Amino acid sequence: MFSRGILITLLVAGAVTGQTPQQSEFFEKSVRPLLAAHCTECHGANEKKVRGGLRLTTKAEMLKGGDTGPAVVPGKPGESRLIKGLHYTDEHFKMPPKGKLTDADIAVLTKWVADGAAWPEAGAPAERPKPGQLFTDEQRKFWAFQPVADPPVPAVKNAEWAKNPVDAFILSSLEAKGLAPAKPADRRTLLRRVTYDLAGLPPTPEEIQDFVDDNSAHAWEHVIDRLTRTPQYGESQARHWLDVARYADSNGRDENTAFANAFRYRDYVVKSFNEDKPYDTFIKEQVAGDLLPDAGTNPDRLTGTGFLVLGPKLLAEPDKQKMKLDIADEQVDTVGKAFLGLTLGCARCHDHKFDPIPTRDYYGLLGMFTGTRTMKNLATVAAAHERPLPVGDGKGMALAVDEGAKYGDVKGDGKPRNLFVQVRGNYLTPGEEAPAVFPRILAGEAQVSVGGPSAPDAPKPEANQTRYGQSRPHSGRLELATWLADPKNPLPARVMANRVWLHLFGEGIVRTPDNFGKLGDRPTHPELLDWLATQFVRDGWSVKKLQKTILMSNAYRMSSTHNEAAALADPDNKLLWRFNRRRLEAEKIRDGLLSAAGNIDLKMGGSLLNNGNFTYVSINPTLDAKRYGTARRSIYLPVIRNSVFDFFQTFDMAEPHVPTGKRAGTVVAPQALYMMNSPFVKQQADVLAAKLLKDSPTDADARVRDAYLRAYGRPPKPDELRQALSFVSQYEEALGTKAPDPAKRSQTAWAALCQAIFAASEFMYLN
Amino acid sequence: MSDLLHNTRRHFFRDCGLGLGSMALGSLLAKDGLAAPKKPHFEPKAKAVIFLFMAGGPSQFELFEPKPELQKLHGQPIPDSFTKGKRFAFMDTFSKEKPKLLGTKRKFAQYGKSGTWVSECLPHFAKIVDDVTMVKTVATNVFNHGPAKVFFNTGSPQFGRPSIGSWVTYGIGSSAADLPGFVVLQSGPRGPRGGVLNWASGFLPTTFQGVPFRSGGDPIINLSSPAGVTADRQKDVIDAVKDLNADRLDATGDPEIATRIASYEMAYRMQTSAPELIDIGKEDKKTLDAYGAVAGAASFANNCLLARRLVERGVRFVQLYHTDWDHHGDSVNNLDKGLDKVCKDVDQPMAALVQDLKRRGLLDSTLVVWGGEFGRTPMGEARDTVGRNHHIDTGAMWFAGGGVKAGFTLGETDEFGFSPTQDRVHVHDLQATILNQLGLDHLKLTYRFQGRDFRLTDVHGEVVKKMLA
Repeated sequence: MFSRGILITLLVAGAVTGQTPQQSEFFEKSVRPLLAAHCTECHGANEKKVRGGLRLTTKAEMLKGGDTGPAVVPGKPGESRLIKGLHYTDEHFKMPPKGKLTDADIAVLTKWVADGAAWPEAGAPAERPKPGQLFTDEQRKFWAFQPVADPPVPAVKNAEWAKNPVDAFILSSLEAKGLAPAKPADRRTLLRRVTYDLAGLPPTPEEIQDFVDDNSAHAWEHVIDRLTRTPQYGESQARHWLDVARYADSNGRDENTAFANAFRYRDYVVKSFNEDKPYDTFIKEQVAGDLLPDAGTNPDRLTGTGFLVLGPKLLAEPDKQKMKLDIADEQVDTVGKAFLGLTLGCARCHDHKFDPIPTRDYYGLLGMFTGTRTMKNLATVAAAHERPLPVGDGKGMALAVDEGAKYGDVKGDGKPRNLFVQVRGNYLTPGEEAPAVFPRILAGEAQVSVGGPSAPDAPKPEANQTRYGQSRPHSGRLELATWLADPKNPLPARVMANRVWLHLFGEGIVRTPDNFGKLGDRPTHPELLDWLATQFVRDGWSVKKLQKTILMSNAYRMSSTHNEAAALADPDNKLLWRFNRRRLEAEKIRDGLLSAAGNIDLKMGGSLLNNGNFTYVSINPTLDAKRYGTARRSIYLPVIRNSVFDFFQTFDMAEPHVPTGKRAGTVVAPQALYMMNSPFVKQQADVLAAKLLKDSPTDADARVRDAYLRAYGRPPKPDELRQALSFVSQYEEALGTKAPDPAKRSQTAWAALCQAIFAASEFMYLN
Repeated sequence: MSDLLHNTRRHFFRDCGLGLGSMALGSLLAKDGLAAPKKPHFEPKAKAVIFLFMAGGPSQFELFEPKPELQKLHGQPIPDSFTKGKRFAFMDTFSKEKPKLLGTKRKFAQYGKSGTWVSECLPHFAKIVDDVTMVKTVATNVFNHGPAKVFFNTGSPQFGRPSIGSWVTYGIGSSAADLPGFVVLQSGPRGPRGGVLNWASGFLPTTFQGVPFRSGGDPIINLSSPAGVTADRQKDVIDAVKDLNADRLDATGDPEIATRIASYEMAYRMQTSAPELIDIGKEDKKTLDAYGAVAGAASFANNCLLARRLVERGVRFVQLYHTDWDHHGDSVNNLDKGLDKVCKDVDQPMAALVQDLKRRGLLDSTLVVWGGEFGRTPMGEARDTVGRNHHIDTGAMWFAGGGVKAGFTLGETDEFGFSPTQDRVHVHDLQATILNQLGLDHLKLTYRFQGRDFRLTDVHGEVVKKMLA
């Protein structure tokens, strides 16, 4: 069986012929559930039991009817037997027989028939492609496949607020709905927001003071520039990309063996963000860095291809041909989601049900990766491919790919070759040959296949073997990388601009960052997205410049204050009438605790994984303590698939088996237990308390102020100060004779206060 | 519910006029188990499930499925008609030479009024057969351990779907106010393949995720107060946190903060209730002995006892994993000593669990499920010792309580036990059946994600009515 199951379902709201979206929605929401609950058990769902010859699982069956004629006459409920039966007026014809439906349900079905009995067919194309064309006009016109536009900046009424084009786009859609943006956030809130967003850490009391005191016109800009120059910037930005790259230090799945050299890829990502490496170069390195001209001298080129090698694999797969295909499939799927925002993997077993990706296009891409060496071998248990880096003593190894397909015990001459479409995802049932071209909906139907001139030397098909077609000199990965980094490709710049926006605002302009296809969300601000993508490319694919453009807007600097009227008009804040309050990600909570306590170790790079390369990952308390019991930044803690560090799991780290553009942000009891009881949190509270007592030996007010500044980025309000002091004194009193040493009593009480401050919502949220 | 929460709720309804409205807040509070249990689709037979997951795939031929024909033709190659077009795990061990039929060394007898066949490996289980439905024809789709377990638990071998326990707690909530609704217990030499994916909540909110308890030490991580912190002092800290959060709530009007306040309440209550729960030393000696449980030990026996205690306290879904049943025939994992060991681990406790539930009147409302991710082949493997390969066509599972028939065997297989000949039951059918016993219609239990309604049973599954009382 193949791991990608069949994705069809009867429940999908598919494309529609001759009915409005409202009608389709009404059918899916109200009618289909009634049919499924009360009718289809005897009328169609079960082949063995079709009563009265009537099946009610498609519109055609319903109109054809059963033994007594059509079940429905569209537009005429009075003449429709389906409706008549519901009323229980005919003694011999009561439907459903188990009991009369409620009046409300009958009304739904009657309205549906009266309105023409609209029935959207799941997954059926709205129209057939014109003769000689592969795709329908509707598919071609889908927003994400259009070239990126350079839209004019809209005019707005409140021109004063529109500080830059970003604001103009946001404001014009707010104004169209009669809404206004929230007031600006205060400087302390802003500084905490931007410091976490760019560096992943809270601002220090000194940084807060500097910004609050800076009266220059460029104060805000200076903050942005300062933060993007810190090494912590790259670490924080890299973490988002590592989610997309499903980064981990172990294989996961069945055979959880260590990737002892994966950390080089992680360090490469940190370095790339810190250097503000142009994103087009970043794409090329990860997809085909080994094929770039200076791969022999620039270690980034090889290291970047670790992106392709890092995936989870069934390392003991007994069927080696399938194993090879599965590995390439995982690569195609990850490349598709990461750079194109397309779920290409869905086209392995059948033409994509929702997006115009034929299986032939999928196998065309797959052939570029089966012509690439990803594994050292395909033995049981298989090991991933590594290559020596062209630096230092040559002993540094990185997970990296190579051209060529001949390894392990898979037959073949090692030449990159076309694959054949594998019907239902099974290599034993080959279909047509799939030339190495890019998805045709994006790159056109008339493409020359990549990888150099093809040779018509297809080997003779063999029973029980993957069928291969024409050979070519190269895999085609280099051309793929170039195409992905081409500004004319409508998706990569949009997808990345959206990721950058998502991490600054908490939601993307497209709220499904890894799916820009039909089942993904539509952009809330399509013109803004295109403007940002265009600007991104114009600025040399510079992520830092793109971020600065966004951060300099008034939109980013709005407060997160609630507004009743706006909330009623736009409950999901899709139009951005205020800033989204966000829960900090797991790493930011941990790093924030360490940083606020003054305890963080900012050493960069290297590996904390204490496990032999490609040996099974051992998990026990002693090893865990070494891996995680450190004050290093969270990005440097090993990510072990199937056994993610419990702190990270508790606070919704991305599941590292799959690419993740957007994490969950849950609030559950185990998080509270963590903040209340984990030795780690208590330790940070102890350290902070000791520091407060040392820094202000006599001034209790100053201690509370300092704790608030470090944890929340603001001083306490007068009543908060009073409450804190009274908490400490009551706590000390309650400890009483149990802690006879007053210094110790004081330390314990202040540590309790610090822990309460850490455990409160304000610490875990960005306003 | 505390005044604070009460006030918070009122504050939202009356003062904030949030577009989210009462439903959103209600569901947010429900996330931490504060809401009352939800109404199922129809009157349920069972209130809880205890799923004894035998990780690795137990061999039906050594436990429940005597096949005289297999004994007779032991050592002969299996006729081609059986294996043609089939794929197996670890094909290489099959390709060295043609797979040969493997008769079992174990002795079988019929037990109870039902005359259920059980081997000498499970003498304790033999005593409870009249409370059990044995299903001999369980088929699945996937023959590698990790994906097959994930398939059994989530209905799909793909990652990212919610597990059955998550679907159940999403569907009907939990009546345990002080404990999570879905708890996972593990024993055996290592964790089950697939790990957390087996009890993950997928695209359902993480509050429905299975909470793994540990059988030694703290059952829940960070459950105990730090050493030297008394309950009173900790309450002080929590009250301070609540005050701080309540201030934020006033300032921001954010329902998530209300949820966070609630989560601290739940966490504090768990701290009180969970230690009492795991203190099996409170059980009388007779009960401990019946299970073979020893206070403080980490064992399947302790977990079975803990499972009963969880169900007594209203926990909805308890899943026990015991490794390792993967008896291919290497020096450790074989059908001789390897099987003896694992049978000894589970036989007495699982029988004691069913008997204990029955004695306490809990068996009628608790569905006990026993089985692995797939069955094993009637052929042996060409390895060092005696073993069998993974087999997806058929395997055996048993069920007790919760509205299934007592003393009943469902399904028949061919002369070698290679394929079902009657009453084939697919994993999706069993998922539908388990939901059904809890009052949930597997067709109606859906969740909309990325524009599509998802179900545990995907587009398959039919309730196995024949096994229901």
